[in-house]
Amino acid sequence: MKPAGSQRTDTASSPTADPAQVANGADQAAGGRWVFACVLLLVCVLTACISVLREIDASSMTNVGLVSVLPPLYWTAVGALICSFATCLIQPTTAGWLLAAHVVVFIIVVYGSTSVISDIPRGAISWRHAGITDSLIASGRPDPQVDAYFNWPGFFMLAAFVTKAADLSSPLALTLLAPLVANLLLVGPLMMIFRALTANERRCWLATWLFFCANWVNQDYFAPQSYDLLLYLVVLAMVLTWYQSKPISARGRSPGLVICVVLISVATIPAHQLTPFALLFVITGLVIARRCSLRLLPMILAVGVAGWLLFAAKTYVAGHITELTAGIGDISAAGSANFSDRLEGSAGHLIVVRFGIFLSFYLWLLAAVGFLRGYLSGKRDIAAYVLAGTPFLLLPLQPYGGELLLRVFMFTLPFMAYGVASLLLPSDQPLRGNRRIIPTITTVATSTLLVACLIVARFGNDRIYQFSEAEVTAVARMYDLAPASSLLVAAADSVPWKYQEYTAHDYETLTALWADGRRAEQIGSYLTAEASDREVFVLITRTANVSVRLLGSAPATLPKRVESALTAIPGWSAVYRNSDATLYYYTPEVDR
Amino acid sequence: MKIVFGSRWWAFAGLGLTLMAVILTALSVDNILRSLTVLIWVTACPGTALARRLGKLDGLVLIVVGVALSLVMAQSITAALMYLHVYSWQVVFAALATVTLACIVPDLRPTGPDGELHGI
Repeated sequence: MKPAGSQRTDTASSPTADPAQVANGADQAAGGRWVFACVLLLVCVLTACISVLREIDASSMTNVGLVSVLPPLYWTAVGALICSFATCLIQPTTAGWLLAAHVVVFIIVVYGSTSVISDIPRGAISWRHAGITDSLIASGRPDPQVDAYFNWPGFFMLAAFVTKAADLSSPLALTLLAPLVANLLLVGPLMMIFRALTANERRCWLATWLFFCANWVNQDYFAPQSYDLLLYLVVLAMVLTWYQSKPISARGRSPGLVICVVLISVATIPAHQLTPFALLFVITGLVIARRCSLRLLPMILAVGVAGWLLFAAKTYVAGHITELTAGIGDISAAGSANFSDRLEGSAGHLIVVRFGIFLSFYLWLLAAVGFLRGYLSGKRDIAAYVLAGTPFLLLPLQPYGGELLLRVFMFTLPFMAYGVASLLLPSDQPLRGNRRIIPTITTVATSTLLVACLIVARFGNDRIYQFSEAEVTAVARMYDLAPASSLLVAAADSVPWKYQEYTAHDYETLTALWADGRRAEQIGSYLTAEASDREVFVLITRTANVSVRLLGSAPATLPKRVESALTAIPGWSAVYRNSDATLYYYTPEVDR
Repeated sequence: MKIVFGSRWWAFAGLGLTLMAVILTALSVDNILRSLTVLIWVTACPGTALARRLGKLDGLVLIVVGVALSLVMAQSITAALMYLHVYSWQVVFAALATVTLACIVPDLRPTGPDGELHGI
């Protein structure tokens, strides 16, 4: 691996060596001690963080999530890691592998933290995605009638194959470490992108570091968008490395590599609804800005996207055409869905949301200043400007369930991080003596602020993402009891369910029934009426109740009131109960 | 005779990993070793072997393109079989193993006049 700074070729001093050589020899010896100290520090940080994370009791979190239970030792260790990275970065001869080791340790202690705290997969959506994969394994084919996932099933097909080939008992086995693996896989494409944008190896590592200091949007779990982000970055890395409109090496013209770029680009289309559009936009932007010589690539992507919508996903598109096109150009709807609607819920949740918003705007501001400074000083990174700006054009297209701003942040993050790195390390010259002090301080200060916001924003909702063993047992009990075509009802979506029998049952939540205009008593009557046609199970869990309170999606007392309403109706009874969950079932014989 | 693989040590490592994945899967070994071997193999080997043959890539670039190509190939073959209603994970596995071996074996062929084995 290349050294991050300027490379010195001096060797140890000899009796005839001049004083400069002697000094360099002494520097080299000091460098060896420095590397040893850094490696020792990394081992200590890793050990300390893992040991304190293993002691954490996830059930004692407050409304600000993981940050409320992280002990001071964890913060101290992460702080030491930040200081160590900044100091290594500024050293004249720090090896790239040492900076890479800092990035990897950071990813493990931050993005792998929840996997250490609990061996239960985090977030209801991971469980649901495991269920979709399980359904594909069982049926061997995607049924587009089921839902949108089955119209863009590329990721789930891959997961189905991996599950069977590795002989895993369930796709759930893939979900626990997914965030850690997904982030580790991003390091390579990110470095390739940054090396294509600048020859300053130190700036490349700083941009990669800042990417992971700011990736708060929680889109790196076992999900199609996580997989497609990897492909998105690989395509951009290949295009920027070989097909920027500037002198490139002859091997970049290999037809095989062009086929690789096209193949990986097209593979994004069946896996996710949004990422191919983002890729189409940024590649088109690069072509217009004369930073991509593959001028047919946008055309191929556009035809691929249109073809998929018209043929493979026609079932979903035909059934949702009004919904899909209603938001086009409606800036106010996109603004309220992506911004103001998210500022709801409990006081603790609002703090978490505001940390995320602050982090995003702070990063964008620093990046804008970095780009402006570079532009004014004559270093115009046109490709970086295009890649950082073009994804914002997605905003007027669709509210995307209020998540589009998050996705835009995700698509722009690598290039915003590069802009910030350009601001913190503007010079391409090796830094020596006092000139190292300011970049070190600014790197430490910026990283510390970003990481503090990252941990609050990313893990702030963990009270509704971390499930208990008791809840998992209750859901398993529900599946044991429920015959095919049952109606399974939970208080909210934060339940570890749908990981099996995804298409075998209908799923409903009390918050959705409440949003349809039903009060607690009416929900009780509705469920009783449903129970005359099929089996109905109502599962009330601790995490789902917290979710209702935290997100404000319904009155906080709704689950309790529905429980009271159900128990007042003859025939409803609790068929299973443990410390975190109660399962209600309606027995028609009692009533009839 | 001296066997020279040049700096392409992963051709040999890839061959070893591929054979290990194939053997463990063929024997239906049910343990953590098979899971780990197959997971690493699926995400790295087929694409890395193919990428080297297509572009003579090296280092970080080879790993990045190789991992992406591995995943895309696995996804594409699975999808093709699912849409043709003939999905079988063993067929996908066999196709990926064939691609990997076909791309790795030429790296081990003798090329020098002295009878030494050279990698590309």
